[in-house]
Amino acid sequence: MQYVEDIFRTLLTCAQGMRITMRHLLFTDNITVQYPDHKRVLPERFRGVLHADSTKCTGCTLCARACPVNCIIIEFEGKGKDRRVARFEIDISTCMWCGLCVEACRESAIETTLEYEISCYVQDDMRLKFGLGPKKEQLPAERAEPPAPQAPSSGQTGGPSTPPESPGGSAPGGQQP
Amino acid sequence: MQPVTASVGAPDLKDRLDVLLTYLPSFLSSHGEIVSAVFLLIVALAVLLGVSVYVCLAVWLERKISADMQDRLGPMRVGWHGVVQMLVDPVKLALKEDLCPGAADRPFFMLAPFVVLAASFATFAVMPFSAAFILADLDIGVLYVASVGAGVLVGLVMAGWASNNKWALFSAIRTIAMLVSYEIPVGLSIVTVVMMVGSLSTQKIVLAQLSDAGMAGWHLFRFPPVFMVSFLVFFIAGLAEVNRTPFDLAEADSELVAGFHTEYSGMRWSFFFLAEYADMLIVSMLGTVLYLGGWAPLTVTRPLTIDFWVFWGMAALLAWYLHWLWTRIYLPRGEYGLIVVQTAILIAIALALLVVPSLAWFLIKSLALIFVMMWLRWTLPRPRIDQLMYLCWKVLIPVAFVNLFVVGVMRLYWR
Amino acid sequence: MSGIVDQVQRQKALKTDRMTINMGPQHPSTHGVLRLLVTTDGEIVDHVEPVIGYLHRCKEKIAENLPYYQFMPYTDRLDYLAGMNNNWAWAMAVEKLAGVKVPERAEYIRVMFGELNRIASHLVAVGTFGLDLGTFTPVLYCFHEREKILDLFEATCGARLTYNYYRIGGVAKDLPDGLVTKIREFLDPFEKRIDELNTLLSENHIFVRRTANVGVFPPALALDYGVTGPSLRASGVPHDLRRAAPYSIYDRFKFEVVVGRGEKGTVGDTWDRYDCRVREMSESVKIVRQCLDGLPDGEVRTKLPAVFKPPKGHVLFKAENPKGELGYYVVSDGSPKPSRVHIRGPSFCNLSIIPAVCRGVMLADLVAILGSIDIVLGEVDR
Repeated sequence: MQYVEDIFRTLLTCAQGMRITMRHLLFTDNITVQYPDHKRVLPERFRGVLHADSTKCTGCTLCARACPVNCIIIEFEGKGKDRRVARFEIDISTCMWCGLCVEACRESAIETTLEYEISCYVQDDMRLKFGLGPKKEQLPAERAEPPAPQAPSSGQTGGPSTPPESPGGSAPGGQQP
Repeated sequence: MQPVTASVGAPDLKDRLDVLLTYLPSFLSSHGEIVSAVFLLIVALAVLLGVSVYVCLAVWLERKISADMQDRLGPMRVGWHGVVQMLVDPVKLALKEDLCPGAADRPFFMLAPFVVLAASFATFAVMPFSAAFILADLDIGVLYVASVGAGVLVGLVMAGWASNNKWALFSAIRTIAMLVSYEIPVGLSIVTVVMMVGSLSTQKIVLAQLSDAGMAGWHLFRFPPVFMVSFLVFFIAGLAEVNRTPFDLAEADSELVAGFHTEYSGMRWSFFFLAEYADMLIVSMLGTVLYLGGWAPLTVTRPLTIDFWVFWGMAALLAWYLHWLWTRIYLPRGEYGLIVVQTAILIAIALALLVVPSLAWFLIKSLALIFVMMWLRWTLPRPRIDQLMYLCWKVLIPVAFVNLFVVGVMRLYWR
Repeated sequence: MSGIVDQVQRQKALKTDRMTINMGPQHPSTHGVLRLLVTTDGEIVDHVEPVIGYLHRCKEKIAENLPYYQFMPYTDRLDYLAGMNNNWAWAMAVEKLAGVKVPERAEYIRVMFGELNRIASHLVAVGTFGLDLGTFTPVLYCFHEREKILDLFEATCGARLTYNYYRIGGVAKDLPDGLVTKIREFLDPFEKRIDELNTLLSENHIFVRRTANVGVFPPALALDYGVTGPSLRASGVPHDLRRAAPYSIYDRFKFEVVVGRGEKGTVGDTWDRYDCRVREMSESVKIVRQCLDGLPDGEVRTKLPAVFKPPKGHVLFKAENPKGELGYYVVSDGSPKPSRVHIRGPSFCNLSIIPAVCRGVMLADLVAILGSIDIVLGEVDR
């Protein structure tokens, strides 16, 4: 009896399973997102590549100290009013996207962006440079640098809302006065 | 016509051609067997090519069907819905490095894919694609399929053993156990049909199913449900024969990594792949020949036959699906024009079916069976090896024997 | 006649031997870089020895060199399918150590997200278990549901896998607007999807025959080996820390502790372990619903001093993770960094029972048993 029941039940349950897969084949929506052509809408709080605004930054290094992997390097020069962030580097190849630095910052100078396409060819491109640079005399290497802070893949189409140009834009702005 | 052979110096190409053209007809007319041999070779190559094209198509189809069953899209990049993928895949495989592990038994390792491929392609020789299109209408056609098809086993065991990989060895052991066992239910269900027809010739089996009423003549509907059970046994055992999920224990990826083809790469690996899909086609074609009327056309344009209802029911379902697919992703929604177009297409298909060659009917029926195989694959888990043996020896073989007996009795008293 | 006798004699003289075979660290069904040293007699497994350590990342040592709050993102990477629960246990361990009070709303959010993550983790467990048994489709249906949960997490904390959402003394941020509705929208059709999964997989007779009466964990043996979580409950031991030692606010919720019933075979077999997870998902749905109904307003995080120094002492805290009991043993010397941290990973302890129960099973059963205890190598090796 068990024998007959087994055969019967196998056939029945297999047929039921087949009904489900057929239902999915015929009537259920495909959920695949064709990635480079279509992109998911990211929530506001998405923790993408970090972006620092060196004009807001006071150089308190709270973020660097909050970082569990020490991927933020901050150097500043000057005193009092002249105090400025000369070097602000985030090594996103080390970064583990925990967002603790953002939480630590009192000036909202460091923020996560919606940018997540960060592949690049040179490892140095993984070091995002947000610093204002030395005050007066500029090293030739650093003059060529401002476009570098762009998130490395930003040449691609339709980056999410935060324009990747802004870090590059802020750096030369800071060199003027 | 005088042969021009007496030219001075080296004979140029034109002279040679002339010689050929002059002597060839007379030569051929006196050696008729060579003509037919060459003709057969050409046809065989065409079949080979056709099967290869089918494999590419089937791989693409399988990927699309499985994707859709799993709410995915599948290949979408290369060509329209990834159609060109089926051309690109073989190219990719051909360009890959052909690796042979250092500890493998090199000659056998290299040879195995060809054995598998040869065995499965040889089977197509007796497939009756239509009334005229059959490479060799052997008197022992079905027996030939069963025996030559078993040659695949040799290739698989060779591959598994020669790889010198323990997982491949497991696979070889399983292959032997499985394929040898499952030959029996397949053979027994073939015998039931053979008993009805009284011939082993594939062509005669198809001819025996020809009738004006279309489907009603199929063996599948003889003495219901006897032949339906027979067909079921044949199909399940056939699945196991071709190593298809849920009976793909020889290459069970979650247990044996990849089984006998663990160590293979590139073109040699693709031969296994080719053979697997060709085997699927063989089982489907054999099922079609034995139970589904082979190339016998359906009388879909004659109202009030079974065929009419079955076919148009399926067509309506398909149209519905196409419409849904179309409106969902690729075109703006709610196009009534589209429904009109689809209806027109269906009517056109119906008219075309009046003139459609029997070859197409054969392929349609076989591909339908292949779809069922894919459907099963993406639905069911696989049993354990001992359960597989249980299924064969304690379920399929007894059932097949009972069937055989019933058919024998019926045959004795009804005809 | 003598020929046959000769043959038999020769077969007896034929040397047979056991075969030792490496299953992993690269194998499709070892769920990561686990290596099983399997001795087989044909298809029959004679002896299994798990070899671990391929994913060792010194989590415990790292913890000693970081302030308490900075270890939080590392806990995500223990059992990476249940980051929220790992965060939560760490937060509660440190809170217990330092006596930090957690706001009411934060507690509700914590329970809610912990349970959602339990569902997500079980979905992966159930789906990949199907994959181990050779069926490909359920895993994608499960992942589809899981994606929806991850979307909720992403909207709340910004990440899909490494959440780092819980904080010592609360959670990082309050829920975003409209999340409560979204969670309800997820929960409502979810039970239907479980039914579908049951029809497709749990009730499938091939599946049942593969799993029922296979790899039975007798309750006593399971307790001896320190098996916890659904794998233990499947053996009929109703031990669930959420009920046995209610932490956080679990004493306020009505839910059933799911135990194995031996419906298809023996109590504690592979099918039971699978089924426990499926039924636990439904229980988690109940808890999340109750959380949503009772969600109070207010703060979500207790303010801690800038340099957080727990008092001297040591604490052991255990939480009921999707995989089992996750324990943190933290020793504090009064400085901002822990002096010693030990992590009791449930996957590690659950894995230890494998050699004891995998004697004499088939090779395919070994895969099924391994899949049914649902290990995550990130937690086994830490």
